[in-house]
This record gives sequence, structure tokens and C-alpha cells, in this order.
Amino acid sequence: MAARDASGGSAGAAPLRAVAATGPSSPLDHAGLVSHYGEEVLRLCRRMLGHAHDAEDARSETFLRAQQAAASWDGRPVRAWLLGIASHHCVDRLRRRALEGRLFEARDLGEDDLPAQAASPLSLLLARERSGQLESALAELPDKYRAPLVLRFLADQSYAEIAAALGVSDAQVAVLVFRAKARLREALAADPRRKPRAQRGEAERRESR
Amino acid sequence: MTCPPEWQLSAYVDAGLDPAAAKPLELHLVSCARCRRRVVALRDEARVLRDLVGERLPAPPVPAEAGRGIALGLPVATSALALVSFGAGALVESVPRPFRWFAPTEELGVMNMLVDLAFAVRNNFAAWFDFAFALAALAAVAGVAYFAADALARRTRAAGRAAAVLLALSCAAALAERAHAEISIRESDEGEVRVGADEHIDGSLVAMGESVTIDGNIAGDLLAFGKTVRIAGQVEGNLFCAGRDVELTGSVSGSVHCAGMDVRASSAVGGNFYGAGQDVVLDAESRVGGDVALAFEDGQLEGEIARDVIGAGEDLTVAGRVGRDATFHVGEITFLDSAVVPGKVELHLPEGEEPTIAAGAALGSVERKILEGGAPQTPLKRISQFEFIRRQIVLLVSAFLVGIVLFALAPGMFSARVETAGRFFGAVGTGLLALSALLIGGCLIGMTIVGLPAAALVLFVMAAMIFIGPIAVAAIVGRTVMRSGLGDFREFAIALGVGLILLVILISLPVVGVIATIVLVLEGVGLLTFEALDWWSERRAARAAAA
Repeated sequence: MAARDASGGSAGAAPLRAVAATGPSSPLDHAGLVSHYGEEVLRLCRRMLGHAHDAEDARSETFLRAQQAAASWDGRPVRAWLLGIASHHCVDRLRRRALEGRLFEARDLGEDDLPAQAASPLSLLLARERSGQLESALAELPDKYRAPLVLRFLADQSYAEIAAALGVSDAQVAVLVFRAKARLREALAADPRRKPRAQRGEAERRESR
Repeated sequence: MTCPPEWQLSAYVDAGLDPAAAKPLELHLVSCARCRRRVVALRDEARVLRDLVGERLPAPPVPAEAGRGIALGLPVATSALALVSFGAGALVESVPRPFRWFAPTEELGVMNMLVDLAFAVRNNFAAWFDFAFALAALAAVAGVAYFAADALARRTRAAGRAAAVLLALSCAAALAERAHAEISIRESDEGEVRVGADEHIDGSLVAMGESVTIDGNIAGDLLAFGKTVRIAGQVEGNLFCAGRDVELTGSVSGSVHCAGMDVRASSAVGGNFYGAGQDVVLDAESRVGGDVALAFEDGQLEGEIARDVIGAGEDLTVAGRVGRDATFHVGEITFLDSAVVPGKVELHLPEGEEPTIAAGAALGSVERKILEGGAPQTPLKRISQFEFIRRQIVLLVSAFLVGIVLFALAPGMFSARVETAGRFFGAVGTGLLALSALLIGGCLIGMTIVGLPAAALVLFVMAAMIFIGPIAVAAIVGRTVMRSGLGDFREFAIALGVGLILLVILISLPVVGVIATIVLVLEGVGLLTFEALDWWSERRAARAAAA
């Protein structure tokens, strides 16, 4: 299945692959940029910000910035470059939204305070069939955890790139991404339809054995 | 080295660990199976996350590549095949119980499994599906070509036939080469087939040997057959395996289909799990993302199952968690303290048998039913049951009535005779051929868009032949025993009655009965086919004579 994913096997990825093949090779072609990457940039903004209205705004802002920055383009793949601009812009917006302009508090970034017993990674796999539930769990994730997750898995950024966008260290990105995953698993594992509340204590005892 | 914290494993899976930290972690992974399993699970999770944030959920089917597939177009073919399968399933379901001479698919989830299998093959095993489909299509084309060549041969003699054969051979060669390219095959007659932990197989793998051990990573599907089959690696497609001892500890992203004397699974399965064997154990480590269907003599269900469970067998212990509903057809059942089934629990148990439910077990609504026919009981106990006898009597009477009506309508149908052993086995072979031809033909016809009603008709004819065939055999048996002819209506009725009673007793016998049923159905269908062919050639001769 990984092989298929890598080749853009699912229908959602197929158009993106086509874009990559035929999209503009330089950001100087502004109209081409908008028509080829508009959808994907909007999706990234929507995921990062959580609001459709804000996302539209962020998209126009992204393309505006891209136009201004086109001259200083360093020759890397256009898609990654553009998504980089979009994610920096979205992180700025999230910061503005957060208390005192700080997205993370010290205890979000420390390794000591990590959840001792995270739910099994399989809870996500098992919930794959119920995509609506996954969707709402993702939407309910706090901005500070959703942002690194979206940058990693939608924009395909490396931990180093995410660290640059969020203004934290690489190791702190690892902690943030893991916290985000653990939160998601927890939200899905705690789903009342799968596990009656009364049974959870017992189930966890069994798991820890 | 102690196990690294999970956040480091997570960073490692996301390629976010710098090389200095990744090296010792990789060294640790070599020696620690537990961490390896966690890495595998984290990889699976990453895949789901990529789909989730990329808004690609639920995963849509793989779009067919341009140019793949034969004339009719595989999407149409697949949906038509599915419709036909569902139609056939519905047909079987709608037949009243006593009318089923031969229904091995009953109650075991086999129908679901077949449908699932067809889809799995189509989605994840496209090369083989194409190949099998091509073979079926080739057979159909060859059939048509034969008739065309036959017509041609009257004018051009042998040339037409030779051309058709050549065409078929070149098609087959081209297809075989294509199918071979996408699947790797490892075989070993006596020794061991092994895929090491550091091996990665890009496509699908077929492994056959006395012992099969898979520790590596298979990107496609895995088919494993051997006396001992051990799968500890990661299979990203579906797993099909059979062996005496089957042990699954790795992870499988697709569905698992396995059969063996001793089946033990403690793996993470993304899709459904189908298991059959004498001892079938889904242990506490196992996680299944879809449904579970089990057939066993002695079963243990301890893992976590996301959706429904259906199980049939003699003795079952439930200790795990089921996501939704559970249906069990068993001789004895025990729910331990840790058992959780939030939905409906349907228990089919023999009369007088009570389920053992521990105080701590959390079961939704429990529905208790009497096990009909007593399939998992000892054969002798089964025969002595009233329900079973009543069923056989209904079967006898209905078959008798249908036989009488058919005799009144078309007495010619019962004129067949089985004088020699050659004729007997010939009829069995012909029956097998006729049934498979009807089945494949029905599916092929169903694949053309307009063909669905016709396909339903073909499948109906098949079902009718399966029911009527044994009646025809009963008539022959009765006539042989009574030494009577076909002439008189009363004589026929007596012969049919005697024949049916003998046959019903025969198929009710333990063990022998199952074989007898199969032979009986094939023999009957074969004889009916002979009769139909005779009738057709007579009619043609009559027409020719009239002309």
C-alpha cells in the first residue's frame, strides 16, 4: 500500500501528481501558480487554521507574498517553496490568534511531561473506516498540535522545515508531533461507541499487563 | 539498551531523528521485537494520518490504469461481477431451507469472504485478477471462435480451426508473460522459504515450501503455503496463507485469509480476518480493523476487533473486545471477565446447552437461539434430533412433488440410464464442467452492461439443475431397484419415492453423506446435460429430416 501511496495511487493524490508534472517550473508565472496550486494551498490553510473563511484569506495572502518573493526564489521545487510560504503565513496567523502571540508554552515542548502511556497507534488504523470520527478528532485538536501535524503530513515538510516555521528546535518538533498523535489516538480510543466507559479501566489494565 | 521512549520512535518513523540518534535506535530495533512492532504500527499510523490531513479519506479505490483490462473495461466488469455474486448470494439465501441439497456456504461467512476476496484480488492483486479474467474471457472467446470456426470449416475445412487455435495461443502467451512480471514466486520442494528481516519485496510474493518464514516487508500481497507458515514481518497488502501450523505475529494492512490445523494470530490486521482450522486462536495481542469470521473446532477470541464477529465451531472462549455485534454458532461457549461486546450477541447453541458468562463480561443484548440441524455436534447425536429428521422429511416430500410435476411436464427428462461405470463417471465430470461453465458463463454475461438479467437467468438455471439433478438420479436409482420402466405414471411415482428415500438416507449419513451429496449433484447435473444435448441433436435431426 505504501508503494501505491508513493506513486500517488489514491484518487486525491492523482491530480496533484499531474500538477507536479505540468505545473509552472518557476514562480514567475503567477497565473499558472494560482491555477495549479490554488486548491492545495487552500487545503493546507484550511487544515492549519480550521476555518474556511480564514483559509480563503490566507490563500490570497499566500499568493500575494509569493508574487512579492518570486524574485528571491532559490530554485527549489515550486510546490515545496509555495507551501513553505503558506505554512509560514498560517503559523503567523495562529500566533496572532494565540494568547500573547505565543503558540507554545514551555510545558508543551518538554520531553519530561510526555504522556506516560499513550494509546496504541492502532486506534487510528482501526478508526480508518469511520472517517467522520477521525475528521472531528483532527478538528478538535488544539492549534498548537494540529499545526505541526498538518505541516508534516499534508505539506510533507521535514522536521527541520517544521522547526523553522514554528520557531522551535528539531527535537521539540518531535515532541509536538508525538503529542498531536497521542491526542488523536486518545480521542479515538475514548470513543464511547467502541469502548463503554465502564470497561475502559479494565481494558487499560489488561493492556498494561 | 532500554527501549527508547515512544516519541523517539515516532520521530524515527517520520525521518525526523538526526543520524547520530537514529543509529543506536536502529541497532536496538534489530534486537527488540517489541519496538519493531511499535515502529510498524507507527508507520501504519503515519499512512492513515497522511490520508486524513490530506483529505483522502476514506481511501478511494485505485483508479484503473489506462489500457489495462480486456475489451469490456474492468470497472464495469468488476461491478457486474460483484452484482452477480450478490445476486447469487441473495438467490441462495432466498431458497427455502429444505430445498438446499448442497449449501456449504451456509453460516460460515463464506459468501462474504468470496465477495471480499473478489474485491481484494481486483484492488490489490490486479495482475492476477487480470490474468484470471483474461483466461475466463479467453475461454469465452475460444468458445465463440470454435462455433465460428465450425461454421467456417464446412466451407474451408481445417484452416478456420487452426487460425482460432493460433489466436488463442498467442493471446495466452502474451497474458501469461504480463502476469508473471508483477509477481515474484519463491518455491522450495523440501527446504525452507525465508524472507529475512532486512528484505523488502516491492510487489506481491507467492511463497511455497515445507516451512515458510516471512520476517521482511512485503509491499504487495502475500500468498504463503507450507507445513509451517510463520509471518512476523509486515505485509502491506492482503495475506492468504494455508499450512498445518500457521503463526501470524507481524502486521497486515489488508485482510487476512488463513487456514490450517493450528492457527494462531497475534498480529495487527487492518482489514478483515478470516480464519479456519482445528485450533484457531486470536490472542490478546491481536488487533483487527474490520470483521472477523472464524470456523474452528476449538476457538479462542482474545484480541480486539473493531467491527463484527461471526464464528462457527464446537467450543469457543471469548475474552477480547468486539467493536459491534457478534454471532456464534457453537456447541459450547464461554465469555470470560474481559469479554466486551457492546452490540448484539446472537448465540446459536444446541438445545439444553447454556452459555457460560463470567460476571465481569460486558455483553450488549444477548439473543439465545436453538442451533438448527446441529451442525457442530457429533453426527450420531445430530441424526437422533427431531429437527433434523423433520427437515429431511420436508426435503423428501418437496423433492417427490417436484419430481412428479416434472414427469408430468417432460417425462423425457427421466429417460437417462446409467449402464456402465464409464457413463457414471462421465456424468460426474460433465456435471462439474456444466456447473463451472454455467457459473463462469453467468459471470461473463453479467459483465456486459445489458447482460445482468440474462446472467440471473443463467444462475437460476444453475440453481434449478442443482436441485432437479439429484431427483433425476433418484428416479434412476428407484427404477433400478424396482426393476420398472418409465411407462406408467404410478410405476414412476413408486420408483421415484423409493429412490428418494434411499438417497435421503445416504446423504444423511455422517461423513459419507457430504461426499455423496457432492457426487449426487454432479451426477444429476451431468445426466441432465446429457439429456439436454440428446434432445437438442434429435431436434436438429428432425428439422433436417423435415427440410
